[in-house]
Amino acid sequence: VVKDYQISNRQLFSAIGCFLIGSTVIITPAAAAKQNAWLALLIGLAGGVVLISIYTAIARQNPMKTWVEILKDHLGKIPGSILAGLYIWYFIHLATLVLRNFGEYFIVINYNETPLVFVNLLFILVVAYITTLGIEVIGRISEVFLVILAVNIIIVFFLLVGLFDAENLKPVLEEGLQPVVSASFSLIAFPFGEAVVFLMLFPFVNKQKKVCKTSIFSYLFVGFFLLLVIIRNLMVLGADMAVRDVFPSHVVFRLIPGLDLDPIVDINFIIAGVVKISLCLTAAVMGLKYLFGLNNYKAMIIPVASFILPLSVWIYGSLPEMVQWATDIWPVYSIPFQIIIPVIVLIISSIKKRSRKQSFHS
Amino acid sequence: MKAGVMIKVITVTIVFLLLITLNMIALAKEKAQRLRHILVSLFFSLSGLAISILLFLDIAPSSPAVWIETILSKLMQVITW
Repeated sequence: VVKDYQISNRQLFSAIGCFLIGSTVIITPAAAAKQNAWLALLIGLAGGVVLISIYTAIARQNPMKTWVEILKDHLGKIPGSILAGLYIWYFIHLATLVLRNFGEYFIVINYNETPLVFVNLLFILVVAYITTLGIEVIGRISEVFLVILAVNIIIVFFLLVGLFDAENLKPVLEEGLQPVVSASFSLIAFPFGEAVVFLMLFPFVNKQKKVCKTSIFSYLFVGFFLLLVIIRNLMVLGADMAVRDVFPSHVVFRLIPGLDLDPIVDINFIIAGVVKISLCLTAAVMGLKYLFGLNNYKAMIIPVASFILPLSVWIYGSLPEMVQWATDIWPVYSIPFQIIIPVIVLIISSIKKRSRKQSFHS
Repeated sequence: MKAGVMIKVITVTIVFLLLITLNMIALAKEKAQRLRHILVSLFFSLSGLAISILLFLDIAPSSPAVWIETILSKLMQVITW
């Protein structure tokens, strides 16, 4: 990797934060656990921390290499290139899904008569522009907006305290551990495991030694705020309503007594979504750069963005189909990308490193 | 074909061709691996154009989400069997 662009560790912290908060605050993936969603989040967060530790361990063992280069190095040129191609598809797919999530959110909440393609077009134009400016700019945007997002969540939490009903969190583990564990598995895949995207971006961080620590702190930070969001939604709406509504957070904002903060809150979440899509697009075009040996990754942004836009319209027939896919299919589909392949690469990388050390000593 | 659909198809084709042309002009400045740049760029742009036209004509096949779902369910059947 030639480091002609760099982000600081604080920017990495914020980028991971915005990435994880991204669409998670508008769609609650732990809804299946009902009133135990908070417990599912804690288990999912623990799983997420393990996953990010694996990703950062891979990055530490392969300094200054992107995920595509690591795959080619450890799995051989042809299998590595095939897997790298699949990962590029995965990043593009993720960008498409998030774009569709936000497009649907906009249409359901504000612009009921506007065609989805038009809303997504406006989104992708901003995303393509930000991606063209580079990861430093995405880092700086995240730095500003993560603070605003966090403050936003805290303010809304306190404004709604009067509507809280702690009874909505009971009974704990009414149907046993199974629904909680399956919901926490969904949470590992969405959003925590999606940070596999950062394997393409870790080489561009200033202080490589602090990548692991920064990422884990970011996970814990996001975990805390997502916990606030889930507890708030449950205590205000109750488990049944929170499960039935596709965008429970939006319903909650509308209930703030005496204030209509809805547009302000929505804008902040949309910015987190833009950051998430931009990071996926950056990872995809960088993947193309290292897979095909291209010099200019920025020239690929418009073609890939113009592929993502129609794909986001084509990919799901309707909003219920999108929600069903995100909760049932996405976690299973993501297992190889988020868990199996990174674990295999980490094992191979560790064995290679150890044998290199042994041959050096002998 | 209805006039409205025709206009949509023509508009989207013009927009995509314009984007491709602009991208090709930008890529003409590349000194190394110009052909690779062009091929990768064309692959994504033309795929985007094809999907758009199929969607406007309302003849798009089932989406990749359905393909993935089918593949996964068949895989699960094999695993459970």
